[in-house]
Amino acid sequence: MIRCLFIQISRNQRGQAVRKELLVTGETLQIGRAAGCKILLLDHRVNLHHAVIRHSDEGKLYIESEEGADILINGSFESSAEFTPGTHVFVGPYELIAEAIKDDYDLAFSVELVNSLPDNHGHISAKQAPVTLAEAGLSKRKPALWLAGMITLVFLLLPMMPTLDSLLPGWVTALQISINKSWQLGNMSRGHHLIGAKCNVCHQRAFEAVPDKACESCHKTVARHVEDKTLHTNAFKGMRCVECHHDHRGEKGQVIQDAQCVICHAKIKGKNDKTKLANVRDFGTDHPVFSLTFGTGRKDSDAVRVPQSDKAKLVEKSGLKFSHKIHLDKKGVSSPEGDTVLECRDCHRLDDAGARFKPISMEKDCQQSGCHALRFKPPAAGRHVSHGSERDVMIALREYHATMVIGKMAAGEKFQCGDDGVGKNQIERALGCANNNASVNANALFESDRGCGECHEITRIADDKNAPWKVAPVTITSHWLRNSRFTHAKHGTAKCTECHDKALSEKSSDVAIPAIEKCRECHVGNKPVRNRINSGCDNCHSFHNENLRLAPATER
Amino acid sequence: MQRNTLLEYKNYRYFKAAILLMALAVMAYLFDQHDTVGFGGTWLGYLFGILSTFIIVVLVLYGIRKRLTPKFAERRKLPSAPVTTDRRVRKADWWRHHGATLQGWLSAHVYFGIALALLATLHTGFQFGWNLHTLAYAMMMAVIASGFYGIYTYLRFPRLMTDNMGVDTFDTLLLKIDDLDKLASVKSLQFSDDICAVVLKARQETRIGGNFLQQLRGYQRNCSAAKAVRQLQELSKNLKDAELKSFNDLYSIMAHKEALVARAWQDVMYRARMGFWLYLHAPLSIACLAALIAHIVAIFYYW
Repeated sequence: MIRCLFIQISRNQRGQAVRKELLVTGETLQIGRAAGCKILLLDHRVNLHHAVIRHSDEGKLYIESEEGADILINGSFESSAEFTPGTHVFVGPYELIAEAIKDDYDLAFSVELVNSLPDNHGHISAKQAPVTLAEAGLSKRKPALWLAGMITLVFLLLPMMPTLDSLLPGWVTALQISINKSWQLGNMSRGHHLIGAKCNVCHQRAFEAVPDKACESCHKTVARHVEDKTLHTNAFKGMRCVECHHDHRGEKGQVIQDAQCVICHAKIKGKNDKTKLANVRDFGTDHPVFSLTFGTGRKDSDAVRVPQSDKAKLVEKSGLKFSHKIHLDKKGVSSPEGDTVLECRDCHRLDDAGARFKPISMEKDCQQSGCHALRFKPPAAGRHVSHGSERDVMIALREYHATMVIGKMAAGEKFQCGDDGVGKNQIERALGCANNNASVNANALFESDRGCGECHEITRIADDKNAPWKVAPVTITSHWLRNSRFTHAKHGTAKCTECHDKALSEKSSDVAIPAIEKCRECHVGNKPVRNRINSGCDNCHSFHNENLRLAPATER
Repeated sequence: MQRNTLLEYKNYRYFKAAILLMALAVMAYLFDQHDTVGFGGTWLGYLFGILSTFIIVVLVLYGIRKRLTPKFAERRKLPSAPVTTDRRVRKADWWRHHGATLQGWLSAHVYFGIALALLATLHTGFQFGWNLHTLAYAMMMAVIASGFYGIYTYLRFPRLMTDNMGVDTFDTLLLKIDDLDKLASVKSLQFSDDICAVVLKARQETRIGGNFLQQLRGYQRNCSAAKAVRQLQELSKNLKDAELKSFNDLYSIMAHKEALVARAWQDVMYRARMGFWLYLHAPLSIACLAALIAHIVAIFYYW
């Protein structure tokens, strides 16, 4: 137990010390500003528990700092010291001086506030600089307003002026920087580059979607999706061009994507119960088998479409007799120039677009190396029967035989005419003889398998005396998958026979258009598969179906 | 402490909500057919856009709610406030009892801020360019990034600050430095003029705080207090033995002052580093809001 005489010293107005003595007792005497301290020093510079006075083991009284607080003992910072009379201790701004012990006290010390707390801290020399960011001049509001204001001006208000670019001086526009362009989501499609920054060419009114008439001002002829006008109108009622053709989405942004096709075609039966089309979502999974288009006549409407699954009907009636097997014999096919090995491309020549093939022509393809030259036999070697209509052939034959007969007449030779020459004058007999020979010749030509009949289907017509034969018209199908687009040039890495199994075909009625499974060996739908080509609807089909016409099958 | 209250608020309520939202968004994005180039214009893109805008508005509302807090607190002090018929006051009362706490708001602010980064990224369809739309996105991401730094500071610095300050406050540190300055001045009088000059110079030139960069750096270059301690070491060599005891006292006072100055600087630095991100976060978020409005207007102006 420490009995302590605690002397509080304050100063009166004249600066004289006023001593106030108190008795403080306790096992230890805590000094601090906390409520429990025996020696309560109320100042911010004093810690809650700043120091303590206690007995040492030897019974001496010590003062020591608590919790690492600074106490200045006799002028130097020390953590503890014996609190003998005369010891000066600074606890914060208070000076504690141990005094001589009197009476029965264990200890006597005085406490005086020597550095009183100033009324304001402004004079503290260390605090002349800003110590917070706000004091350093940083502001949240100012930059917020500036930034927001600048963004609103540059990126909202100015781009709303469509004619802004024309107001700018030349050198600014030469920089290729346009404020209007800051609104663009992405690059414009290639075809629209020429419109440039003239936004209002398409966006004619603010907050209104691009109207069709804006598109139609340039795209004046756009093919419909389906041939039937009413059906087209009903199916696409209220739809606008921009619903499918989004611009500002890069170079290919305008291209129709599968998702848009599938919206209708996934349940096309539900959209139109009369349709013959099958529901389809993806080329790789549920695309129906191909339907081949057979041209049965010269007109478009004569064409019929036959699904490849209906194999019995897959017979081409081209009016031609042709064996690919003979022509593609690896040992060669006999020709006036000797045995010639033919390849597909000798007859099937790609058209200029590289998509399909030029029409097969008698002159270029069948008579190319002297084959099928339609020559007369000696003595008229070197002359040809023209490859044209039956009537033209007859005229040519009559002219030939008339010339032959007249030649013989002039040479005084006899000419063989059968019965026709009996009982008439020489000229009549000669003409009858020539006609007779022409007729015999025509019979041999049209009706034997070595003449026209070798390639053509020929029927006899009894009531036509001049040309009593009819050669079936030749209609070779040039576009089998009429509603699709296929570019042979892009498939040049494959051999023809890999897809078209024609090498052993003996009849022209054989159809060798590959089935969808063949395509799927390389092409998959939209779901990517390793080492396969992703193919969307747009790869083969085009929405605006401008490709519905049959190309002419052959040239005469 | 901060960790418990902010991030673990109500057993991770907003964390769970944000995770759910993000998972749904990612699933929707993955299962959506990506036949078209996104650009935010598909129905899912619009949905992400609307959700993102809504979240941004809620996040900005936190800033407003935070600034309203003193008013809320003021009303809390008056539990016996008379029943009022003023609708606005009654509404405020309702919010006081039913609205989330500021802590709840902050927890939601953090987690939905993270979710926003994902939703807005999905909204872009990963199509970026030199345009207003990407600017709005970039500003939003900058705001979120500065917010991340903010969370980091709130989790890290308070503890460091407490460790640094101990029982002191910044003001008591300054007062203590001032006291030591006075004490040192008195002590120095018994020594030669050059020692007095060193002590006086340290008193006059020691500076705590400074401009933005100095505050962030956290110390004074050529700090007078530290320089004085070094100079006193040099000057002590010329002293007589009799003076040494007194000089040691002076020296320890100056050394203590240097330590206090360093602590005060450290506190300034912590507060600057803890505070400066908000000088980016708040203005950028307002600018981002302006860019967002411009983005939405631009999309529908030229639809």
